[in-house]
Amino acid sequence: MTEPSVTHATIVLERIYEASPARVFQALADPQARARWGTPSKNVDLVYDKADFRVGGLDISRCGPRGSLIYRVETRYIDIEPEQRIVSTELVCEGWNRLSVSLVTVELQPVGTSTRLVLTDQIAAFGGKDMIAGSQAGFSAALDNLAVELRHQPVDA
Amino acid sequence: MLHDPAQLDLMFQALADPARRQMVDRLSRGPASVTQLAEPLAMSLSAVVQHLNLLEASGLVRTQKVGRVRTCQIEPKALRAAEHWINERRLSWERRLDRLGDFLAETKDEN
Repeated sequence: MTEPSVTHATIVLERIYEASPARVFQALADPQARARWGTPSKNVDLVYDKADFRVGGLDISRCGPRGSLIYRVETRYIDIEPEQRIVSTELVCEGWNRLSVSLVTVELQPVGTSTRLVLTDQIAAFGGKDMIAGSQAGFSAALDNLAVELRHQPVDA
Repeated sequence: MLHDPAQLDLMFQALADPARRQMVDRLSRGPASVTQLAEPLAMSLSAVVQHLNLLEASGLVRTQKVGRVRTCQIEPKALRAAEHWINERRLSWERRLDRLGDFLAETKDEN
């Protein structure tokens, strides 16, 4: 049985924030602000090695469970329209392994005094040959990695 | 084979709960009966069965009744690492966008 080596998916999320598009845009643009909100939980660290928020600019950040910044993220800004949209590509690596690459589109739209944010993440995830189930060992290892990751990102009730 | 978005949503929901993750974690080491699965969890057997139903609906876990014993096992096809990664990423975005909301509320008066 041949497993596909790349899995594609589209993640679409929407939020309404009680803030102007200018403030939301600023929070997305400013690396210091991003360092404050940009981790999924307080147990995850995010460090920017390089931040260059402009079309063609490249951000390099590392993140992971506290004290173990195992993921390296390269964000290349493709299109920036102040207060309206940010389009970027995001490559996530763990060591030398490329885990996934995404086209991330963030759209902002004023709704009264609030802002509607729509995030679309079109992702190609590389299932490395040792990540694919089939051999029980490979499967268990992948699951162990997941379990470790999830333990460091507890889901609050 | 790709999962359709509805199926991915179900998987995502199934893995969003710590007890269900613990059950998946246990089953990744091999099949178990419902009773064995319930053992380390501080919850009633019926609660475990409810969690199990959700895991089964998500396609992550398969159960089979032999005689009086219901055996549970992981569905390897459903649990490909790449799909996990995508679920992880979705969960991460959800939480980051929530934190962005918190950040905007906290900094409301700073501007």
